[in-house]
Amino acid sequence: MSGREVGRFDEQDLVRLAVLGDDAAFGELVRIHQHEVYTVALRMVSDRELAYDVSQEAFVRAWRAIPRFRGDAKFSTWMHRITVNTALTHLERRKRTNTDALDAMHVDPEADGLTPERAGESAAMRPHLETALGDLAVPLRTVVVLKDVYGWSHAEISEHLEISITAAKVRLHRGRKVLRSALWEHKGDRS
Amino acid sequence: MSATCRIVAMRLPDIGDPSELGTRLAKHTATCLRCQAEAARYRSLRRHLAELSTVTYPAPQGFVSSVMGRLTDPVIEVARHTRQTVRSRVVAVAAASAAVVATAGTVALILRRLQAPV
Repeated sequence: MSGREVGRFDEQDLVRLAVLGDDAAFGELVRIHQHEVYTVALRMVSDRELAYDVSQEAFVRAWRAIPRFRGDAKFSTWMHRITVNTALTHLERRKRTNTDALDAMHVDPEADGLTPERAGESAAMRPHLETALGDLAVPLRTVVVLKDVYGWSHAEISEHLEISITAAKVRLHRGRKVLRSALWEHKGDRS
Repeated sequence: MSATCRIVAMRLPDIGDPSELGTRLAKHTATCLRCQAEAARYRSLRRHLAELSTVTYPAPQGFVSSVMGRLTDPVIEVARHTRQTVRSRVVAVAAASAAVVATAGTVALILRRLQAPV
């Protein structure tokens, strides 16, 4: 299938074609979901270069696994989980090689396309929140991102991180407390 | 800060609303400005975190072509295969070395016993 033909298909068609090994269809899926996947990776690892590697590898893993994709979940949900797992693998690898020099994301709102239309409380708070999230210890950040940003259940988090539900709850509690302190104690009251 | 305020502060990270605190603590919060402010901060934190799910950052330029290059690049597959081959060779050499050392040890032990005075 040529790239031009791909444009006529909806996402479900693209997934069906990709399952059959159509790389052009998969390429279109990559084009559609690249930003979402990159963002999830960035939130998980809080490092742009690593997020790039994670998101690339997530798509490569997805391509290898797509013949087994049954379509029970949406492609975006499936991709989200692959990205989270890939990020966890990279974080674990980095921990093992003892080079855990986490750079905070230090999001530059302009560089990331956050336009003036997003002005207001949320936009004002977002860069500080992203930085505070980036500064969180990896185990806390992972749980906060999955639970509070992406709405995973404690059971899902526990399964993916291979920790108990109680441990997931404790990490969430600690993570929220650290964020609350970072946002309202050290940088002035924004409430 | 009263003891009740401290208990409320300890519970707030886990709940969505002060009404979930239970009757006694909820009643305290209804009249305590400090606890109300703290509850508001956690509500705000959770709302802003949830809003992050709607914000996406643009993937770097050339992302798609780079992914597609990785899918079809035979060099990557060869490299992956080579890494696996190297890994299995290292394991084989290590196993063979261990076997040689064990055999040498056994032979040395037997020779020592044979040479030892009765």
